[in-house]
Amino acid sequence: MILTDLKLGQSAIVKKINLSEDLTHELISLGFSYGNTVIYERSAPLGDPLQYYVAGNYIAIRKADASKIEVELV
Amino acid sequence: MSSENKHHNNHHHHDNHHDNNHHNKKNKNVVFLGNPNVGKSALINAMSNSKIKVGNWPGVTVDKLEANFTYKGCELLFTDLPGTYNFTNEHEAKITSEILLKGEYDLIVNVVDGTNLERNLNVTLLARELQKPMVLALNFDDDIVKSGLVIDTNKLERYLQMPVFRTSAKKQTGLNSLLDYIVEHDFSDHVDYNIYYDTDIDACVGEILDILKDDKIPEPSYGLKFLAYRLFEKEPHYTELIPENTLVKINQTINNAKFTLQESSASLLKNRRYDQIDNVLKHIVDKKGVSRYLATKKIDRIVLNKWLGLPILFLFTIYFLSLIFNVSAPFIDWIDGFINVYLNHHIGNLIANMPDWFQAMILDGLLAGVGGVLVFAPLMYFIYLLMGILEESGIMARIAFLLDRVMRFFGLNGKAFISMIIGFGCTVPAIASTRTLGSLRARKATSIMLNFVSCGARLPVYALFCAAFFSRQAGLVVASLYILGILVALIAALIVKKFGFFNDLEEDENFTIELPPYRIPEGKTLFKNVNNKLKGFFKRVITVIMVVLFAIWALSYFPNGKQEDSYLVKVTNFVQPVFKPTGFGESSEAIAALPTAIVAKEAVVGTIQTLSSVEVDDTVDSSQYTITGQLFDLLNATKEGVINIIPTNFLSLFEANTSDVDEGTLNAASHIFNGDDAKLKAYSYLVFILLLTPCAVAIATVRKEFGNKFMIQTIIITLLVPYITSTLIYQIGHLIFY
Repeated sequence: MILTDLKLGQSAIVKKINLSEDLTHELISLGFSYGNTVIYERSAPLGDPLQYYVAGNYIAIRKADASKIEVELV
Repeated sequence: MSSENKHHNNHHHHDNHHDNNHHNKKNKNVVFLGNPNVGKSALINAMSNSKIKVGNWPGVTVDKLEANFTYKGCELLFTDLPGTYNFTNEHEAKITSEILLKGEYDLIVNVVDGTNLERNLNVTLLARELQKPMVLALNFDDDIVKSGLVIDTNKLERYLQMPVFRTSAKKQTGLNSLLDYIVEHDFSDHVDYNIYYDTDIDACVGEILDILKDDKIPEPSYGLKFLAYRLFEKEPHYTELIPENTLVKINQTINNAKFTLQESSASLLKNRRYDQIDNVLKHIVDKKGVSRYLATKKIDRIVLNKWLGLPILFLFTIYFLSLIFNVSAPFIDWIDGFINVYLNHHIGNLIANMPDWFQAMILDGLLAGVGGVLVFAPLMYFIYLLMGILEESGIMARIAFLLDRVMRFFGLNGKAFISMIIGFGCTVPAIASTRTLGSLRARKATSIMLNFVSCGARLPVYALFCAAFFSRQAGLVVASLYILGILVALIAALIVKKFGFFNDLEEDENFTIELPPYRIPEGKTLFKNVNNKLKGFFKRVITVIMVVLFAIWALSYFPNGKQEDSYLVKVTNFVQPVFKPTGFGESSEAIAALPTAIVAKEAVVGTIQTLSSVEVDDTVDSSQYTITGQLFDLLNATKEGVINIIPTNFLSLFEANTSDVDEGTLNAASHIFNGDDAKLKAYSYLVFILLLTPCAVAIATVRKEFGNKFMIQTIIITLLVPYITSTLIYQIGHLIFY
């Protein structure tokens, strides 16, 4: 399952990030680390980017990037 | 944790008393590290008693905030490292990590948002691997207390093996204890944080460390232990420093280690740090407070709403623009009067006995020229102020979030929209604001666009020609110019995207943005920053602009003091044929005004006035010559400015104020374009002014931000685009209407 499969308010656990090393590094330090819980908060009015709650913060990332993050439902 | 007590103040009693001069350095270099939005600069500003200064990091255009001051006889240099989440090679993080790795400092003060420890401590754990003296500033202490969150500071000290200070810049608490600690301690002793990941990882890193020592790898400035961790992560930046045979041994060690990995070894430590933080927080947080997002969540439910989000943003943008213009307008008028009436009158009296050319140089060259640019200082001030508020309050991040999808169509990201809004006020801060865009490609593309966004200085020109040629349709004409500017800007962005200009510039482009809780900006730091930026603007006016203005003035004065014989007019006559296709080729005044438009757009009005040699008798209220009269005017301007904060008339926004145009200038302007198609010529000219190279300060800013090559590219583009567009408009207009 990938991050973009989450419905509004649903939470999941981060499993794997299949992005460039730099972006992976960046996302981990923003909170998308292995085992952390992510909640899908909302999408921007035009459907992209997507807002998530992770490690105590709201982080927005683009749909294309979110679809490269593997998660598991809690 | 065996080493938990050996960290900080074991030695502090002795070096405090005797031998203060020997053991304890008299000057200390302290770097402040932390995530963005943790209030580092406000903290430094409060600790240093507002000594904070803005400079530039060498080679990059990220602001460098520093404070140099003396506290209890110790000279302190505080440096605010760019806020970062990690030590990667991305733009701002790169500066931070380079400084940290070089190790030329005595102490790291790691500032963390006490209400957001889960994410903030990540950088703490990473920086600890440097084995440098470090303290933690648990900032926003007032917010921690308010939210009801209970943090056991003693336990946190023991876990992190470093002193923890609770601080609040707003409430001015904890600042002196931290300063005392910095001044009283000697940081030259070796620190040795006990870093713990898990048994397997620690054993493996220990082995790597042994290999490094066996192979006599020289100790880098950041220490062998830090190196060992980075080699474990196989970070290319570090592995390339290691000889081949050593690296082979290290990689064998890593491969032999028996990890049960679902993650790659590269992200193993990063992930483990989060596990550790979770574990630490379980023990130190005794009572969870109310979420720091409580109010934010409610606001965001409305302003980021699927249906309401964009309409609200639209209204907000219009209000924002009206704020910039309406609040600064009374002050602009006042400065204009102060320089052109008060100073002109008194300086004129002072040098009345000097030769004519000298008087002309001072009054028409220096005062009028510099004054013409300085009138925009209030505009600039409010732009910088509002920008600061947008940035600090968390609104900026929301705007970027809402519009990222739209801007991406043009090959940009959401943050570029903010630069465009600022560009309606003034191109100079707009270009500087592209710094927040991240990738150099996006910054350059946005900077190109900004040249075509109609700034406030172009309005007086519109006003003059609208009054002369389009009295009835003035509003329509001005609105059409604004829209045309936006269209050309967007087309430019599309062209840059389509043809991949600036694409050779490395970075991969992504958009990750934190939506922080809404926060009321800390006033002192905000105003300090605004003042610093305004100082920078004045500096540029004085250096760059003066030189250019003098040159232009000299060209229009020499050889004999008569404008019509001047070199400027001679050159104008020479290039006139080039402008024939644009429709205004026959009007020598219009063309002679173009160089001055490049210096400063609004200078066109003055140039046309002087060139047409129409005598204007200014009716000046004699009270304006007295300083009390000037102060009274300033008071009135302030009153008016404050009243204008309340939105009353959005429609006035794009209204070029034609009533301000004086009779003589109007008369002069209306004679510039003749014939049946005078209106079309005037419109073509306005389009040319709109799209022409913005002004000398903007160009100087482009050079400062992007260098010479890009500056020249910008100038060429901003000469070609107006020429082509004006030609198209005139020629097509001619076919249709005449």
